[in-house]
Amino acid sequence: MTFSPENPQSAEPAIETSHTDEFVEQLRCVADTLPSRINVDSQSVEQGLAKLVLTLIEFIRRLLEKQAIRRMEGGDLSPQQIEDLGLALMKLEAKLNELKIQFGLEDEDLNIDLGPVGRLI
Amino acid sequence: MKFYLYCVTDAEPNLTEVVGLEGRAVEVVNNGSLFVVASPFEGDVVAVTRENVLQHEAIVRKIFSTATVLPFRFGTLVTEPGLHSYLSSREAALLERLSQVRDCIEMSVKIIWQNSDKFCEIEPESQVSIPELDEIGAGTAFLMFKRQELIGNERLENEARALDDWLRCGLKDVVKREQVTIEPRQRLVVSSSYLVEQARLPDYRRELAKLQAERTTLHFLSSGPWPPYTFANIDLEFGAHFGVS
Repeated sequence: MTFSPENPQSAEPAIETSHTDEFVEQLRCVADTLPSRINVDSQSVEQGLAKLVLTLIEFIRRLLEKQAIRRMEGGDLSPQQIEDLGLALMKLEAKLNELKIQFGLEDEDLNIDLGPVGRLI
Repeated sequence: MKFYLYCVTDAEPNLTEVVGLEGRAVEVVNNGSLFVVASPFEGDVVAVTRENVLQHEAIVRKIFSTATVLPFRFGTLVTEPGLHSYLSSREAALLERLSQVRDCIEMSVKIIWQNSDKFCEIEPESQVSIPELDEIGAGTAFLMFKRQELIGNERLENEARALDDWLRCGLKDVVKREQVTIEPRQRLVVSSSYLVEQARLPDYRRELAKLQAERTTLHFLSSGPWPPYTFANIDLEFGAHFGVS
């Protein structure tokens, strides 16, 4: 392999866009969601644990919701069963929102970055 | 003592005029056919500052200008025995990965889409009207609302996937490998990294320019050439090997 000034490996990286401000704003949002280094104190451990548990509950809640909607669309539930299922899921969502407030978590906190696979939710 | 790691290469790198993070010395740790560019480091934490991040990138790029490299992610620290153990056990895999990225550079494309909310809108005929909602219970209304939300989200995901397919199709002949992240619910909907052979860089740029001209409503950010950070993937392996992140 030869290296010359024209060689792309020697070139300074360039960034090209006509919408700099917009990208800066969006990339800042991404940076804000990156996990910070873990501080092992009792409060952060508790919140970290709550975040993990609530993320899994949120994931399962969404699966249950989708399944309920599929069954409703499939017509294999009576009106009373639909009502009961809807009320149960509504209460579950309300309870989860309550727990999020209690642990100081936002909607976007309830997710797990699975690396190359993407995000859980 | 620990080492702060910059990159791995398979040829002894030239470190003339290379200064490490916060003025530290930079040295080469050799193990078999592999050479790791590293700085001796006392302590357990690397300060995350703009200067340190830029210095890490500058050092990797300097080595990259004369050799094929697998860069480490910023902040990677390891003990000397740990490093040798990693290099000995992963030598064949690292050499294979180096051969995959040889003569290649990384290019990046990010796309912001506008008016993605319109994909979530429900046609009037599919919407549940208020009088109907009055006739049903709260639980049923909740499920119907969730159904509309689900339809909107599925439509959004399909649009994002179609966008990804369009980009993939347009660049498939000029890239060697790719890694794409799609976030349908975000305005920054596509973030792609491409491994491009150096000789194909003009072709890549031409094809990307064509794609940009095709979809003027999308906002593009393209960057590069970068060392192959995304395709090195050694930080992930390194974390798994030592149980660190």
